[in-house]
Amino acid sequence: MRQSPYHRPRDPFWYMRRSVYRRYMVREATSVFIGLWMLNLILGILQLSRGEAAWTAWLTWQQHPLMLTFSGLTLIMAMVHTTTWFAIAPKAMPKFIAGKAVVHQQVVIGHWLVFGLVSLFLLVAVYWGA
Amino acid sequence: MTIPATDNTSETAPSKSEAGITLEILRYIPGTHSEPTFQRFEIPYVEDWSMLDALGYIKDELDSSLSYRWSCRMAVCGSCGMMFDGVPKLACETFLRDYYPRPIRVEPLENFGIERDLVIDQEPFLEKLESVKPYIIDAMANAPSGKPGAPAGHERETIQAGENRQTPKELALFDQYSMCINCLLCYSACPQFGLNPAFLGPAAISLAHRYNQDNRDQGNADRAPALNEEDGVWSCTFVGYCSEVCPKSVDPASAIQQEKVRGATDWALSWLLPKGAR
Amino acid sequence: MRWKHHEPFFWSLFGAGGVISAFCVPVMVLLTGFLLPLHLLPEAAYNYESLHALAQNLWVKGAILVIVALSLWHCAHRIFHGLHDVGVSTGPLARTLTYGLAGLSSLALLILLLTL
Repeated sequence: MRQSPYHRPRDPFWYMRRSVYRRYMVREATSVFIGLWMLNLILGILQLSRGEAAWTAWLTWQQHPLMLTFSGLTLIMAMVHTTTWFAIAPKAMPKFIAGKAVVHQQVVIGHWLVFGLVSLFLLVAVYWGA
Repeated sequence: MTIPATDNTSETAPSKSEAGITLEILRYIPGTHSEPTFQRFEIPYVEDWSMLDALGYIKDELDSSLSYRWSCRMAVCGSCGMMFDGVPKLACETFLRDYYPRPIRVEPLENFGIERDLVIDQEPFLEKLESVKPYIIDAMANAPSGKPGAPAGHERETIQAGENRQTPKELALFDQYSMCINCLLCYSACPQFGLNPAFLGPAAISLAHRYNQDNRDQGNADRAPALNEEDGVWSCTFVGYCSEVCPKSVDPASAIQQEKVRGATDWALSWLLPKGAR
Repeated sequence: MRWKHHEPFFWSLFGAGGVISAFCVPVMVLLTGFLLPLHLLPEAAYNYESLHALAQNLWVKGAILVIVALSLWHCAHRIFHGLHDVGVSTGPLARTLTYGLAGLSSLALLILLLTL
């Protein structure tokens, strides 16, 4: 009769074992920072709706070193998210779009171009539109 | 590095050089061992030896009880997948020289049950592979009738009815995914499979995708149940390591993402279409 | 075929949120996390009335809602699967705390924007 195979115990900290896994966990952790930052933004909009005093209080809180550190970490993590997202975006695409072969490198470069345009547009809108 | 005299006195040893290298192999013999333990083997260092050559030397000269799977010796059969220093690789295309002079840790493929020594239990994978029906279904459903002027029929026809032609573009849609040799390195690379052994996994999904993408095939609906399950494509979180370790550049991660897109379309249609048409 | 789960729904919104946050979040954090609190923006940005008026623009409202709601959903999905990765349960409680929180926050934002 066939012996049942031996199963090695699972490592609960498997994600520390390989650099690929550690990078994956950092990628997934970007969501914690972006999520918290979004909640902070909703709070800001709430304060904006509640009047000038409330808004100023929120804005002052954003100047606190703690909050600036948090924003700094979020910016780094957001860039990690953008970089990793663009890198794997072509893999979710079909091999051909409108009869043309999808070239992965071109897709990644295209994503970065759009990223640049979006960022530039928002910055220009804020500085020139204001 | 010195080699114990008992290990290396055989006449068949191809090299009598002074150099040696240590292999630490995870041994497990059911009935004899209660759990796997590492055993050290000192073998001569031969620059052009693959790990498979090294294992062969051990089995022939040092310990005939060592078990491992192998066949073609040229990365085609997919039998000799194992872990070297914690990285899943094919023993036939991994070389001593890439590790020398450090000792090399050899273990059976991760995330699988161990049958004996470096031999893992493939049974669960084979069941998964079967569940995605990795073969062309209803190939002749769209074949031309073969008679000049006759309309292309959707009825089943025999192979005599004509060739089932495929353009280079149609081939390119699945070509890369057909390269899979079922070596299971991707399963050892996949932490989601490690966490949830019910996950259909990279190779099975890649092969399902290969046939789903084949324009001769009419089996998408037959493969959908296995793929669309929660343990199907949806257990993947795109770690991406499967594609890195694949010796055939199949890129299972891309196949899974594309099958997710197909699954999401199926799901949306299941809401939009009237019940009868689903 | 019949679906016994609705993971495609969660995944599709996750994907949409991933795309939109990859494009928009870095510049948004730069603007409101640094340039705004460090007083590096044009004066008008520090005028409460004009900022309030800007937030009342329908296009601005729509953009904020789409970006924030989808990004939150994206984050909820990653955190939910991350809980599975680190060995915490993925039961209804984890689902409520992740997707539920993202959904409720988005709903709160919607109401907030409608009343602004």
